[in-house]
Parts: sequence; structure tokens; C-alpha cells
Amino acid sequence: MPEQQPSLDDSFIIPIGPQHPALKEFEYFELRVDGEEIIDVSVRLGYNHRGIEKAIESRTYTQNLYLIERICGICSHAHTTCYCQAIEELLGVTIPDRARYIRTIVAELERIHSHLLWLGIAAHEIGFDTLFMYIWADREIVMDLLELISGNRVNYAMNTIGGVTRDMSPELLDNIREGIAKLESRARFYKDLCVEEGSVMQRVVGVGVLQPEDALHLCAVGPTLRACGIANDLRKDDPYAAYDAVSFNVITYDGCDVASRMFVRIDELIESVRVIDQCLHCMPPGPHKVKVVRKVPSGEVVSRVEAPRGELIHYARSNGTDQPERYKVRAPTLANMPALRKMLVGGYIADVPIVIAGIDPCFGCLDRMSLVDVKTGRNWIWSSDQLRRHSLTWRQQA
Amino acid sequence: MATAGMIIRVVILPGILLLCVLAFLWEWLDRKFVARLQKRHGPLYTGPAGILQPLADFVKLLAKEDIETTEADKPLFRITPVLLLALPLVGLFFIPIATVTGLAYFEGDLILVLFVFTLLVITIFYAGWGSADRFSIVGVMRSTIQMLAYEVPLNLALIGPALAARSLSISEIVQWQSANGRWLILSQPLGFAVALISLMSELELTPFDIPEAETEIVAGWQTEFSGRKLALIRLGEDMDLVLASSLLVALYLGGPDGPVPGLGLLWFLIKAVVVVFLFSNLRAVFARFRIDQMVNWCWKYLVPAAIGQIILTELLLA
Amino acid sequence: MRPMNMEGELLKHVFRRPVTVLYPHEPTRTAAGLRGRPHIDMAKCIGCGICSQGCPSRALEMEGRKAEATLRIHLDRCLFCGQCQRSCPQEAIELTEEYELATAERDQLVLEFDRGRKET
Repeated sequence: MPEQQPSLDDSFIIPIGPQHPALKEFEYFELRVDGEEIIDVSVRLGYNHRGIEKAIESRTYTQNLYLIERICGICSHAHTTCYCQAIEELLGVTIPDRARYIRTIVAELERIHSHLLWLGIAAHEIGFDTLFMYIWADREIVMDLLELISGNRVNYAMNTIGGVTRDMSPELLDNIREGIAKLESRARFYKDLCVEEGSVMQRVVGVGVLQPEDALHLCAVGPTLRACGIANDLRKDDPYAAYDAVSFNVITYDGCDVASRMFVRIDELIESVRVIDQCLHCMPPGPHKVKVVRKVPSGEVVSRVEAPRGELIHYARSNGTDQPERYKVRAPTLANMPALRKMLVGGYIADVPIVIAGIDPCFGCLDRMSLVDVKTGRNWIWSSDQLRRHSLTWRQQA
Repeated sequence: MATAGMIIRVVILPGILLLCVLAFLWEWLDRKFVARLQKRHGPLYTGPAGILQPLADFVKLLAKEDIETTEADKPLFRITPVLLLALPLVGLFFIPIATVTGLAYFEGDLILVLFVFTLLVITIFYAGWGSADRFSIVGVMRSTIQMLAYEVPLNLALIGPALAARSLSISEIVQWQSANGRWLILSQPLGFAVALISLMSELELTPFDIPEAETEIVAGWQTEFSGRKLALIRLGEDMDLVLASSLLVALYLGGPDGPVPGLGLLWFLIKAVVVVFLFSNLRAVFARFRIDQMVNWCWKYLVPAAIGQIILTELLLA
Repeated sequence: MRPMNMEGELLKHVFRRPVTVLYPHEPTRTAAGLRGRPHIDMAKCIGCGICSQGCPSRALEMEGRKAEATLRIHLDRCLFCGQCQRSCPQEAIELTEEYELATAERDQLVLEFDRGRKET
């Protein structure tokens, strides 16, 4: 986003970032405060930029599977699902039904994992370390399940172009049933706990308020949007994988604050358990992948999935070779950034960590940089070489 | 001879050496108990069951580089860590630990100990101010506002035992409890609860650890301290815990009084351990308050409770 | 509102065993099918080179071709993704469950597979 020049007044500035205990990854929020109240926020992004979109252009489609998986550790399966859907559409390939169901199961397990992780981090941000320890001890259940399914606790490598990489045995299905039953009862326990515990509720109710009109106007996505009462969920609006075959509810709450976002996520966790149950019940037999050719015919495609944090968009353009010509990733956290800025102004410094955590930021997904000249409106992308040369000349002139 | 005895008592037992050992021991107990509540191990490898871990942390900090920023106010920056260790020690000299009287006692030493608590907060203010760092300044502002909230209930609650024993000397209150065979917690439970919560606020334990909220302002007023100064501050915080628990034991639980006379130190330690467990348990079970919520809550609930306790005590005495 | 709602749960756990696994003093629990160190059965390898072309991080290198091919795996580049295992037409590559691969010697991070000897 274009950087505003800070105005020269004598308000007190508190920098949150780039390194700060409240942020798990680095971004820079400059808070202009008056006592304990925040008057203005200036956001600078781009500290986590790794040049992934450029790197994608020089790798084959199979190699890109693993690069795209590592855009983010918690939404890794969502990224690869989006990628595989895009390339499968370019190839004109339909994947087997069993593969669709396995993709859905892993996606929902990842959603459970992400929401549990978020709940623990939110507890830590408001100073409730005991709850944080308890929730993360329960997170081990879902990580062990994912390790059984895929062979690794994060970065599952379950997706491949044309299906999934591993099949699921009947014992594995029983293990999953057992694990998610336990997770559901723990999620209900934590929900009751948070509702009853006064010191938690007073930190999250009425904090980080975002009005529904603002949420729509600023293009918020995911649980942030659903906590304002707007029922936008890509799994219902534009079904992919096996979501058209299972029935589930889209969770919304009307509070528009961090407490509503918390409840949206806990209830989504419980809904994910229902989805996984249905998938396990009607898992069709058959192969788990189909063979595909190496060279992808020319074309361009946009693919969207509902990542745990919101709507994730990938755009791909191919030119008939076995390497993509251009790839673009729009992560949900970037869509939530303008809404975040609106939420922070007018609050207290003490609320900053929980409000930032409330949109479930994943700065690893966030940083894809393009440069915009505000005066001329010109839009361009630099390679790392050009960026380095520009910075050297700029520094010499300064 | 009397001087030699006095020196041994001041420096070793029940003086500075014993108090430092107790400071490390209470920190280990607190960390271990909170860890067990959270399904963790806590300190484990240094010494049996990790008992030497606080000492190891202290020694490590002493060996680290001591950075002084150019912006910092040097005299304030250097003297405040020493004061933060010295002030609780001053308070502890007046509390009976092993014998029925403290190392020193006079009529009114309870007021002196309460004043030590206030002086501690003022020293914290100077420590943060002298650091000349944004996070420190926000931290000490919160610390000062917090003092406005808990100071009144703390003083009101601790006047209760003085009213019952008709004396403002801690040693005399302890002797009154053993003479009457009744601990003051039984007749003033509300005052004990108010004093406990106010002391948690003074010690900056959750839910009142607002001045050093790690996720919000890095480390609050302690941000700029490192090396030796931080070691002294950490030891000072532990000494503060010893002071708070010892005060509660002396005023409400009868001090070194117990079934078998002559083993005063042992009974004192057992009671102090119970109080430390209370602090640790309450620390683990709440989320952090926000500063405006904390001030609100203290004035709405703690102050009326303390006043109510005093009224009850007066009615009982009359 | 019931404050201190967690108290019962907390006190229950004081005397139970903590959930922390004291690795490396105790063995940690792993799942079957864990993706660990790659192992190549050179008796099945035909030297086609598909595995090293498909490796995302250039960890698998092939020297020579067909029957004289020797393979080298750089463990510090390997992602343990399993693409080599999936793309080998002879199913000669397998990711074992061995995960304790850290070492203080740099040259121990390169695994060599050639014919004649199984591996170094």
C-alpha cells in the first residue's frame, strides 16, 4: 500500500515491530498514541518478502508443488490445493473422487490445527499463559493425526497435480475418527471456559470493533468478515474439492469484535469435525491420483479456496512448456490489512496485540510486493537485481 | 559479644544470607508449581529437580554484558537496581522470621514497611524514567497508575491486624496472636483476601502484570536493563515476594508460632510456602487485566471490601 | 460468569505426569510412515535420472548415466518431500523413518549410492 508521509506533530510514537514479542513474524505498525489511546496507525509491509513468485517461474510444475507449500506453514495445504486446482483446470484433468475426499479431509484437519493454534496464541496475547499451554497440548492430537496421514507434522506434501500422494487405510480412518472426537470435546470445553472466565471476556468483548459496512467496503475476508454477521464462505459460495457433497453450516456471529472472531473460529472447528465425519463415512473407493503430462498447454486461470484465514486466490499463466510463465498469490491476510488499520485506531495500546492477532495474521503469506508510484499511478515489479542496484544508487546519493 | 551476635543475625541468620536463599527458593517453588499446573516440568536439570535454576539464572546474568544507552540518565539508571534489592531487605528486618521479634522493632514499624512498598514503586518509576525508552515510559506510567489503585486497599486491609492487637508494631501483633492462641486470619478473612490481592498487584503478578506486559510493551520498565543490573532487579523481585509472603504470614498466620515451640523458623517456612502456593495458583488462573479495567475493579470491589472488614473488626472489638 | 473455572482442571494435573516429552533423554513418539532419510536400492536403479530432475531443491545428483550412474543425496538440501520416491519408475527410492540426522561433520551430510557398494 502507498506509504503516507508521517505528519510532524508532537504525539508519542510507539513502534510495534518489525521485531516484537506480540508478532510471530515481522511487520511494522507505527502507532501514534496519546496516553494509552491510539490516534493513528501507519503500516509498513514487505519485511517477509522472499521472491517466491519469481522463483516459481524458473521451476517445473512438479517442483513448484513444494515451493508453494512453503509459502506458509499453517496454510500449506490450502496453497497447494489452490495450485493443483489451477493447474488441473489448465490441463483439463478431473481428479478421482477419492482424491477429492482426501483433499477435503486434510484441508479440514488443517483448519482445525490453524484455529487451535490461533486460540492458543490469542490466550497468550492477553496474558493467559495457562490456557495457551493447555490448548497447545491438545493441538498435538491433530498434529499426530496429520503425521499419520502424510508423514510430516507440517508441510504435508499430500497434494499432487492429478490427485493426492498417499491413500488412507481403514485403520487410519478409525484413528482419525477417534482423534477428532477428542478434539471436539476439548473445543467445547474451551468455549465454555472462555465464556465463563471474566478476565478473558473483558479483554475481547467490544475490542477491535469493525462495522459490517466497513468490513465490506475494505474487503475483509474469512472469520474477520463472518464475525460481522456476513455469511461469506467460499466452501459454500464456490464449492471445490468435495464440499458440494457434504453439508455444514457457515458460522457467523453479530458482535463485530474480537470475541465474535474467537467464537467464529471455535465453532468452525466443531463444524470441521462434522465435515470430516461425513467424508470418512462416504469415502468412495478408487484410485487416489491420475497421471498427467509434463507440459501444460497455454492458458490462464484463477483458482480460489477458503484457507483457514479467508479467501485465497491464485492466478496462473502457462505457455505450453513445463514451467509456469507467471504466478500470482493473493493471501487472505493482505485483504484484512486495511480492515486491521481501521480496527486499531481509537483503541488502547493494551488492545493492539489481541486485535492484530484477531485477524489471524500470516505474514508469510502476505508479502508479495509490487511497486506503485502514487503520483503517476504506474505499476511495476522489480527483480531482485534491479532492486539491489536501485538501493545502491539511492544510498550513494543520500 | 552482643555486637558479634547482632552481626551474625543481620548477615546470616535470619539475615541477608537466609533471605537470599529464601528468595531463590521461593522463585523455584513458584516456577515449579505454576509449571505443574500447566502440565509442564518447570526447571528440571540444574540440581535435583531444578532447585539451583534461579541461582544459575542469577549467575548467568551477572556474567552478561551490561549495556547502558547514551540517552539513559546515568545516576538513576545505576542506582535504581541496587535500591530495588535494598528496599525489600530493609522491610524484612522488621518481620519476625525465626524469633518472636524482628531483628529490629519499634512502635510503628508496620507503617514503615507499608512505606517501603510505596518507595519501591517510586524507585521503579525512576528506573523506567531513567531508561529514556518508549516502552519503559509507558511501563512506568502504568505502574504508577496501578499504585494509585492498590495502595489504598492494601493499607486499609493491613490496618485490621493493628486494630485487633492495638499496636502498630509487627512484632507485637505476632506476639498478640500467640498470646491469644488465635490467628488473625480466622477473625479477618476478608482482610486477608484483600491484602493478598493487593500484594499480587504490588508484586506485578498476573492478572496485574500490566507494567511489564511482555506481549504489549516488550518488557515495560525493565526493557533497557541487562547484565548485572538485571540480575539485581530479578533478585529484588524475588526478595519482594519474600517480603510480601512474610508480611502476610506475620500479620495473619501467627508468624513463627507453632505447636512445638523452639522450632519457630520451621513453622514460619511452612506457612510462607502455603502463601507462595496461593500466589502461584492465582497467578496461573487469570488473564491479564487492562489498566483501566484494573483501576475500575480495585476501586469498585477491593476498597469497599477493605472498609467493610475494618467496620466488622471495630464492631467485634466493641 | 464463573471465575477461576479452570481451577479444578489445573489442580487435577499437579500430581499427574506432565505432557512434556523429555527428548532426548526419553524416546519421542513418531508415526509409522514418517518421511525420514532417503534410501536408494541400487539393485533396482536403472539410471534414468527422473528423480534428480524432479527434486525441488537439487538435493539428488546423478553422475554418469544408465548402468554406471551413481547417486548422491545432500541431506542439508533435502526437503524430505518424497517426490523422488513417487517419481522413480522402478520404486528404488524409499524414505525411511530415520529422523535423527544432525551431525557436527559437514561431509557426513552427503550420502553416496553407487553400484558395487550399497552406500557409504
